Amino acid sequence: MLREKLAGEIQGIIERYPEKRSAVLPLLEKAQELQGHLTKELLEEIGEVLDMSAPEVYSVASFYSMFHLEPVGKNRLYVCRTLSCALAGSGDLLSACEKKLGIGEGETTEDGQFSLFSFECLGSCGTAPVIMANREYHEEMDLAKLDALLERLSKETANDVVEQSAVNERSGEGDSPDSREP
Amino acid sequence: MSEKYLLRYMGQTDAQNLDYALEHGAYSALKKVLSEMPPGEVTGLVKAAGLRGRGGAGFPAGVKWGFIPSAEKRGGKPVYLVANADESEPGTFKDRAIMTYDPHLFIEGIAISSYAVDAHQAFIYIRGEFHQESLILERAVAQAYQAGFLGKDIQGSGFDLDLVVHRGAGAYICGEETGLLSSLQGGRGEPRLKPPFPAVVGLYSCPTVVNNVETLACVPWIVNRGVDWFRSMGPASGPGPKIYCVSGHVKRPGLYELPMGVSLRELIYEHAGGIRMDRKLKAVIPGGSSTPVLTADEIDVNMDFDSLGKIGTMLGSAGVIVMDETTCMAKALANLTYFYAHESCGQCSQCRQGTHWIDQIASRIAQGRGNPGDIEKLYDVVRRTRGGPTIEMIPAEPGATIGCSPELFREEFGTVLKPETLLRILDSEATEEDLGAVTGIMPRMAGQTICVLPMAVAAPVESFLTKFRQEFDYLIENRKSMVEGGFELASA
Ligand SMILES: Cc1cc2nc3c(=O)[nH]c(=O)nc-3n(C[C@H](O)[C@H](O)[C@H](O)COP(=O)(O)O)c2cc1C
Ligand code: SF4
Ligand code: FES
Repeated sequence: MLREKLAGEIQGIIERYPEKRSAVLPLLEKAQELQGHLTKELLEEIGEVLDMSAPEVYSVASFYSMFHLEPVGKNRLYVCRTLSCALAGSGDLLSACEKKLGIGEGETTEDGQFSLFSFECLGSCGTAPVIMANREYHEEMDLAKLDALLERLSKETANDVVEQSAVNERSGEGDSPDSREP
Repeated sequence: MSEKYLLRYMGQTDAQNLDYALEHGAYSALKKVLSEMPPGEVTGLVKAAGLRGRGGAGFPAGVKWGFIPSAEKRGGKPVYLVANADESEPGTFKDRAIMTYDPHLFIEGIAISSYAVDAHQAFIYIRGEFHQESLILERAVAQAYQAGFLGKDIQGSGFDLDLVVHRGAGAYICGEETGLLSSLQGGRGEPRLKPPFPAVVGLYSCPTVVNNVETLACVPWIVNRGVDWFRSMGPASGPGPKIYCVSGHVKRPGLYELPMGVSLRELIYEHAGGIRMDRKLKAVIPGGSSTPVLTADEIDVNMDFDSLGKIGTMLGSAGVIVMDETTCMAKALANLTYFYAHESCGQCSQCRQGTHWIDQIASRIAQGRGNPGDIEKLYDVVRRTRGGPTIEMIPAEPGATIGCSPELFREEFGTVLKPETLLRILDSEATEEDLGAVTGIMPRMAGQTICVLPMAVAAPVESFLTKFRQEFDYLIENRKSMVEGGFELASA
């Protein structure tokens, strides 16, 4: 899967480094982009590419909080909870997310659209409170901005779902072990 | 407003573009260095300027570069330079701005510094959350290659340098330099014991210089403007332009580039506009969450390494977190202890367990469920988490007595202090220098833990408890905070 989709890229990534193994984080990042989370198959494949055992790759991946080893929603919200954001009201922001999405921290909505996480300092404390939505920073957040953000993301990924399944049908990958989402 | 050097393009993205940056002098220092200065001279210049590391520890950059073994001693091993762009100390957000608004200044700093230490391969280790910033850097790096400021035979000088932007994936401890190198080598970001220091055994076991983004961004300016210019800002013991990150309860949170040594009061009340809603100031963490807190009465201090050191705290990463009178200090502390418990990498049992234990006690106090004796327990657990000798053993000031039996002190310090230093301390005749020697080896003495994260958690815990004791006592006794309102703990 990884090798098929990123055939042209993998070698280039590995060649950036004096030692092959250094490519593990970039490849994990790429792999996660493919399926939203790191499946056992993806970890094994990275191991094969980098001459590492699958448990070794797993052990590396599990160290970092941006890697997901379990299925997650199409959109991931990471709400910063550390001090500067807390002083600026991140506690209320997190509660609002929970209420609006009907899920708690670490959970995913039933429709698979959103996962919610509390996160440690995002390095943007001067514009607290901060939410990282997928890969985008949203700074000086308040409840109105949160509403707008959730609405925008829902719309974007509603379209995504259609495109994604179309892609899956075309490439015959609809039967990957991870399409068993509710 | 004083002139800006590191953040002169703050808020505008023009300088992301090489042409614009070139028109405004980018890479002129690199050209000068490559055409006029041998590498040793560059190191000498940075040493003479007194540039101290902006990542937290304040180690003199030129001195660190000088630790790189000579080519003969390296026996063919390459030298690496790694820019630490992990920026993960709570309260810190300056490196992100340098990378966003002046990526070419940063890249130029990397190129000059690499030249100085004979490195031909450099890496930028940027925290994975800064995805946007990493793309800006990748684009700037590509432009620099194309214009011949990176790659082979830079500007016809014969000097080669490759630069790779490497994204982390979310882990505070990857900011610690040995954790960062483990991560860059493709492992878990677990620190390892120092010494050997990275300058001797670093990336892929080769000599490696690790410097913070802001440190590296100062280098082109030193080359262009000279030592006297750099030394004209701030104290002789650590001069230069400095970015202060102000967050929390001020009217204008944000980044303030000012000369090193600006007064904390001026920073808060003039630059950052004072306390929001004109409330009363209660507490300030001056240098990121791992530095001891100051009370409102302690802000007439200059924000430089030595002045803050003298009053028992640190400049650290210059992450100034301001808390007003509505802040419940127990909640603020519990917020931070949760952070450290979450971020301990878990290699050392006393850190892994200690940080969790500390967090449990701190958060139960904050929630009004504390027990009598919890404060003493917290002090005690912090001591044990840190391992090694306790601060209390060290005389509080020159000439004071030690805080334990001479036998115990001898046992702890006998092998690591010079005999005459040891004797003077035991005889209550310690000098300022002797005390410096003891605190200097503290990290090493915390021997049982691999890195200094336990020190980082000890700083807020001990200082909050000591300086706001009344508030903690009240909370335990009355099961509610002295402070009404305030913020909610995001998670407990
Ligand atoms: C727990 C911990 C976290 C750290 N985080 C960072 C960081 O995010 N960025 C940084 O530049 N230095 C960080 N440091 C300091 C680095 O270990 C190292 O001293 C620094 O990058 C050296 O660069 P400098 O001399 O230019 O400051 C951290 C240190 C510790 C102990
Ligand atoms: S002291 Fe803590 S953070 Fe540092 S290496 Fe040991 S367990 Fe990891
Ligand atoms: S505390 Fe939230 S970004 Fe730093």
